[in-house]
Amino acid sequence: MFNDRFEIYTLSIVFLGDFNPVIVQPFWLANKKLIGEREAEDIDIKLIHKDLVSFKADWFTLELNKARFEIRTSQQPYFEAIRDLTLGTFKFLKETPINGLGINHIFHIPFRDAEQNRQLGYSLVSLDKFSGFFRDPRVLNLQVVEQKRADGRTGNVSVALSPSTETTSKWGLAININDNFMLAPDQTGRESELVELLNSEWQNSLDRAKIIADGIWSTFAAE
Amino acid sequence: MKTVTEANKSSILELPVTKSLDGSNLINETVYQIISDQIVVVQSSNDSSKKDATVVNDGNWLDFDVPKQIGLFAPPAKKNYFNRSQKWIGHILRINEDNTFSAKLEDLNDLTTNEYAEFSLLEVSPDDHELLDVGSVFYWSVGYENKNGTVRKASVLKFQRLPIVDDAEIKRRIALIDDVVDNVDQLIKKISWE
Repeated sequence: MFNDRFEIYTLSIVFLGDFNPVIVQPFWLANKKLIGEREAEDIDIKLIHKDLVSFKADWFTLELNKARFEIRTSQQPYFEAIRDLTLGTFKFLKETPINGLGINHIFHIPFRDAEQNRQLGYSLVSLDKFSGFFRDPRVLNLQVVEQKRADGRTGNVSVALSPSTETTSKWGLAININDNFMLAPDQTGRESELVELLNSEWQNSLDRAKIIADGIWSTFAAE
Repeated sequence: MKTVTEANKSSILELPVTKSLDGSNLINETVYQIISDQIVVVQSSNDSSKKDATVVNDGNWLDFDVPKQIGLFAPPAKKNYFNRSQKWIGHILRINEDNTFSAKLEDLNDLTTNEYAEFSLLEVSPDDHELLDVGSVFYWSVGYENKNGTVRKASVLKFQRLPIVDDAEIKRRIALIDDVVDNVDQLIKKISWE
């Protein structure tokens, strides 16, 4: 079971649009009851600037610049809470134009040794084709994209494999699945379309990420 | 060519390092800095053979020498994460006089499964006490917490915080509470003493 394989599951929600970063501060969130007052007091503020706001709470990290909003956590009990915090924030900022949504799932999997790491590369890429001009070729990063989403929505799904620096093992793999949604041709981005989509597509995205990661891992494990 | 000196450096925000397959660190560190009140993104390197880097500053490209970074940055943050969790979404049915509350739980891994449970108010964070009410929604997880390298089994209760900012949302919440109350009524009717 893939569920038993990954050590860390990081979930990140990204909006692309036109933001005013300096609004979204811990005490604004507390004032709107989106987080607790004590939580706001304990937040580690890294930077509050007109162009960039960055802070870290116990259960999430938030970074916002003029073009990009991102909230993330590696603590599974709080996945729904960061979704709610995002929905709540943009319910209050509903005039904000948003033209892209990414629900990003990163699974960090420890390997027991370098050989297992190498085998994964061999199972996914025909490295024999490189052997004519590379001695002992290896895979470092691999990215595959589904250009047109299977669910008919506008956007794409991509998966990137790379070495992980997060696992307890020296050898680790990060499977980064980006579930990207863009505006449909008839949408303006000024009517919270993608905020609503975050809510309606949430469970589908979680399920999709598990299926993709499980599929990649099964390919490897079957070799 | 403009040179960025150590005196200009402040507010280092992020230092991800990409690891190569042989475990050594590669390039691709991203560092945000404020230089003369402008936020810039520096792509730089731990590799002493790569001395030059580029600063993007409002569209102007500036070149400067990267000073040796080892020791300049704070040590990496401890990794805190929570995994292998079993998760439920809970709806409060009743707040009891003995400092407990009763709730209906839906298994988030199997939405067809409902369970009923009682929780102590001691499990609720002080910040969330104001949210305790019949119909309130919370998330309950049990799993393994890794905090600064120490692993322990943990149970986490987190109350849902969603603002009610329009009439449609108010109607949806009322319907949800009605649904919960109906469920309680049905449950009570099913209880019989032999």
